[in-house]
Amino acid sequence: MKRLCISIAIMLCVVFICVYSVSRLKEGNRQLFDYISRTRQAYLENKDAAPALEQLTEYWKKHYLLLSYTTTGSGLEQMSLTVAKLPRLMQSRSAEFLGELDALEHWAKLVYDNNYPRVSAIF
Amino acid sequence: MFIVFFRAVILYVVIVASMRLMGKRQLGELQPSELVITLLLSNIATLPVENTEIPMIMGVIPIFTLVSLDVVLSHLSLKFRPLRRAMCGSAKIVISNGQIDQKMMKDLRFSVDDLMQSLRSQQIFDVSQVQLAVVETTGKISVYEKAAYRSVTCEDMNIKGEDADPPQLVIDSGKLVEGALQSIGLDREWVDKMLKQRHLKVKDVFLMTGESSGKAVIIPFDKGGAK
Repeated sequence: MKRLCISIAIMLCVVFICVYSVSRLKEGNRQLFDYISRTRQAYLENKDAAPALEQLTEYWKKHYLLLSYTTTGSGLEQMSLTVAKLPRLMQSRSAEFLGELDALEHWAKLVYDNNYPRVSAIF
Repeated sequence: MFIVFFRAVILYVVIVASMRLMGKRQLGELQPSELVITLLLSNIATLPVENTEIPMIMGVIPIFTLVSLDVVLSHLSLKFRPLRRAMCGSAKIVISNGQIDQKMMKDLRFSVDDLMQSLRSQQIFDVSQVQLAVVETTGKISVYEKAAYRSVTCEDMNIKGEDADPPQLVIDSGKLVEGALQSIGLDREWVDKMLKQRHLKVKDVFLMTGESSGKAVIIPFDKGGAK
């Protein structure tokens, strides 16, 4: 009976961790998308996008820690690389800047989709 | 390198805790579901150690999920016989009254060699000596011999024997084993009395066993040997 209670407690903990990680991921992505959107808007309106980008970079450091618990290293490396490129691309007013922001958004969505228990993600 | 080291240590602890949670039955005889769990655990545990790209939690979560699921399902299968049959199968009779059930052998994909090997391991070399042979859900064959070939028991000979518990380990390498004395209904005073007769102290004893009848076997440490 003791074993059964411990096992049920473990299963409940696992379910809680799963639900919590997905909800944190959703909330984290929402904030990330918000920072990306602000940076994109400032850039398109020819305003100084540097403060928005700095906020985005700072937020990415926090979000990276959260993602590292659920995401494989290669995916995270790709996203970090994208974030690292952004300041230089913004300074040079490169057309790739917006593309990299889109890529970052896409990667973050992909990570969430892979963690959300959809039938397609499970199978 | 350190990451691999720490991960290996953590996963070792997780796996040992998981096996303990599954219980002692796991170590001796594997039911089909337990065999599956054991194979999966060993495979899953190696992934985060081998590949540091995989988050550690991706190894720990499935291990705990599988083990907990196994414990919960085995508890449920105790209560619901159909679930037990679905998970573990049922025992099958392969020899009845010395006759091999060839259809059953075929169904179980059991060869005559497998059967004879199992019988020989139980000191039976002639199928006709077997009254009943059953293939258990673990794959082990249990054999019940015909009366003429069974070992003679005290009951057969009308000899009255006394039922007694086997001897218990009381002192192990100079230290008293906790709970041993209670299980044979004796106390510390008895130990001291037995040791006093041999002019020994607890720390001088390499091994001491005791029986509920008060009989004891005492082996002191060898002189000059390691204590």
